[in-house]
Amino acid sequence: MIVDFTAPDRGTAPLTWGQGAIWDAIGKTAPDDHYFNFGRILEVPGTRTADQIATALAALVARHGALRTRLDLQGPKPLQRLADRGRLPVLLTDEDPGAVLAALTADRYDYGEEWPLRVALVTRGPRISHVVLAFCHMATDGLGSEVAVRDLRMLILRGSSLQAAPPAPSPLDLAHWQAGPDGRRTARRAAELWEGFPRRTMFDRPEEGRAQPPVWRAQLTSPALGLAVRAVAARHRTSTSTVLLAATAALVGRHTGRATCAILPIVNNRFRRDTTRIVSTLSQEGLFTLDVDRDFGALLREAEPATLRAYRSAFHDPLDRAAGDWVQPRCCFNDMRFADPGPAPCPPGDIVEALPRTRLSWPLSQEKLNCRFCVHVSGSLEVSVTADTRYLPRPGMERMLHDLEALLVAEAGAGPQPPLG
Amino acid sequence: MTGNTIRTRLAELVEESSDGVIPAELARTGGTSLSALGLTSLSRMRLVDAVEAEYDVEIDLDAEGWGLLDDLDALAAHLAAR
Repeated sequence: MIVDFTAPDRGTAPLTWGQGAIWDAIGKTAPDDHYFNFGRILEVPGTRTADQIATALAALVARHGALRTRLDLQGPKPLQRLADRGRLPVLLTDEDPGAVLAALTADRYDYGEEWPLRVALVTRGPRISHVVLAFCHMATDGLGSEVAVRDLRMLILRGSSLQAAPPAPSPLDLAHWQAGPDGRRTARRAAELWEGFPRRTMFDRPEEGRAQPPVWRAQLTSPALGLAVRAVAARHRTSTSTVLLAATAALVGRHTGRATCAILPIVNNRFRRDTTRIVSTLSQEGLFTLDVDRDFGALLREAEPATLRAYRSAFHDPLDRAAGDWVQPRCCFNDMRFADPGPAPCPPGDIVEALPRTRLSWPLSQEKLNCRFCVHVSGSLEVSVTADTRYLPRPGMERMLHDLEALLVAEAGAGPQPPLG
Repeated sequence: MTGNTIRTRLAELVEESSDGVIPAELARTGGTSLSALGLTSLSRMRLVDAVEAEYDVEIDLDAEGWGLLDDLDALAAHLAAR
């Protein structure tokens, strides 16, 4: 089926900083840039027909400009092109929603021509059971998709409008703010943090053991690690994300033999009131640097202000970054959890008991990636390392994940302290 | 602007930055670090941005700045002394 949508606004503007950053990453990963596609599955509340869902989808796309924005790729630099009307194809299927999502995210987007949202409605007899949404990363990041899914759910529940809700902020407005004096001042302050750190690549020594294809992902599913991270966060009064980032820095330091680590955490950049609920790609890499030649407690204390500096550095102009040839450690960290379970003390015995349930899998491999070492955190608790095996072969990836678990289990008082070197 | 007035306003900003997790009344009570009250890194960053915008200051995100951002009394005194 086709969903026709209309909206009051249209226009063309330069890319926002977030769009520019992901466009750069897409360019360096193509033709494997389907890597950046992601999606969500919404269980449809109540009993709704396809036409009712179509009405809600049209209202959703009208409300959030990002979902009707494509690129103008005719000039030397890409522009964002917001349409005030269009026709969104929607697939009707009775297949498993997870399989449908995998199919919808499998192919790269046509960034100039295709709408940045692929949709399928899963039918169960006469009603729709699920809406499957596949997002182009140029349109939004994970938190933005959460906003879109929440709004869609409300639109389905209420009929067709969110009249009581304030107007949604637009990526076009954000692009104008970023180009204005306040935006430039923010960009300048971020630039100072990047420019103050020497250029270095964390994984700069080729190693034996290249796999085919060269990029692989190892994923550790570890309830014990989940418990340990929360316990360590509680003991040190910090967040589980900071614990995992600091532990990653410690292990990267151990592997690369460097006393100071530079990691680029993906920061959601939703610190300002006008961007909290925007559907757009705001997430960008920040610069997190940490001296790791010390015990984990000391390292964690220094990680706190280092995290704030990373947050500030993350809201930057990618054009400044390119012009300034800023540090590119090729080492990133992405905590993709929508909800941090938070610090919580845990008896060491519970952690030890959970250890046998740890599992390692290899869910992804591909030819190209814009990075050499990426840690992703998801669920409760999966941690993966996606790496270029020319610089970190598969046994090293596996060892790093097990070392991460061992380090934090030990810090939680449930195992022997591994040497950090 | 007096330190007390600033402190009262900062407590409100703490509540806003933490999405209400730390009520202004609790933040105003004093004697406890904002970390101990549950201020997360993300909320702290929102607080930095709000304080800088409202008081037209820049707070260095070094160890000293971190200390200011964990202690409402110290932050109020710092802003009052400008």
